[in-house]
Amino acid sequence: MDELIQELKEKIIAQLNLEDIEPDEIDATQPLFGDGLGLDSIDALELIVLMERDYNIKISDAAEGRKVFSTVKTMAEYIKANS
Amino acid sequence: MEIINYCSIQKGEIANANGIIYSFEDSKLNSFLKSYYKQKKILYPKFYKMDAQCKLAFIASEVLFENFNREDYNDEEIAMVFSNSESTLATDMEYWESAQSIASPALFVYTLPNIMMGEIAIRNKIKGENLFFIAEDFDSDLLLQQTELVFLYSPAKVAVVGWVNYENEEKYQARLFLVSKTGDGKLFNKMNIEKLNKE
Repeated sequence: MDELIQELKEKIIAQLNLEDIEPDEIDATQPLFGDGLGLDSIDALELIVLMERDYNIKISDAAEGRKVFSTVKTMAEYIKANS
Repeated sequence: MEIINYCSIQKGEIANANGIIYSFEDSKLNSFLKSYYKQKKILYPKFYKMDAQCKLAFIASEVLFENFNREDYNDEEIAMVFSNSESTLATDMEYWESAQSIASPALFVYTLPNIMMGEIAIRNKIKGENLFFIAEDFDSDLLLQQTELVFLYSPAKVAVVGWVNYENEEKYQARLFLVSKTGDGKLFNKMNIEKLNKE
């Protein structure tokens, strides 16, 4: 799980162009949206693309997406459970 | 109409109304603008998410607004009149390539040229009139005429006016004017626009 979390942090930084942030600065339990990393709605769409392209997981339900993209840890747990 | 400030960005150099204020040995746009962003210690993480043309418009606006008393104007009193020839062609192509597999939403939002004004508006809380024109070349008559109309028919008291055009990492140009509706300093007229364009 730790490896997947590290991989996700690196992919999120690359996919969302978070150039000022290092993987170690992202707490896996820190909220990705709102007060956490401060991501916006376009970033949410990019995360959906990332899940589909890199993990072959489609997220089409908005309510489910909100839960999956809460934190890096919830993303990793969802990938593990669905791949 | 009076020119309050001016910014030109091209060939690895940034100039304002007083002359060149920054130059970088690598004239490739992304590395050049990133170096200016870091040197000025601008803190706006969204900068990194912008496409090259928006970065160009954004940095030009930062230079224009550097000594501007933003608090003297309501949000609706600042307008924007922009023009270019490429629209968003470079990003359109990039988006088209991404769409061959899974289209990128982050690229898609940069496939309309008025996104440049949107980014500047978000950064500076501007809610005034905004207009964007696609023209073959920098057209001072068009910009003058449209700026006059904006001042005549909207609450705007100042306007960001000019040209932001990106073809590729080596060929790009921003020429923005910060123009006041009133004032008798350096007039915003064809002669002064073209004179600054040649400098």
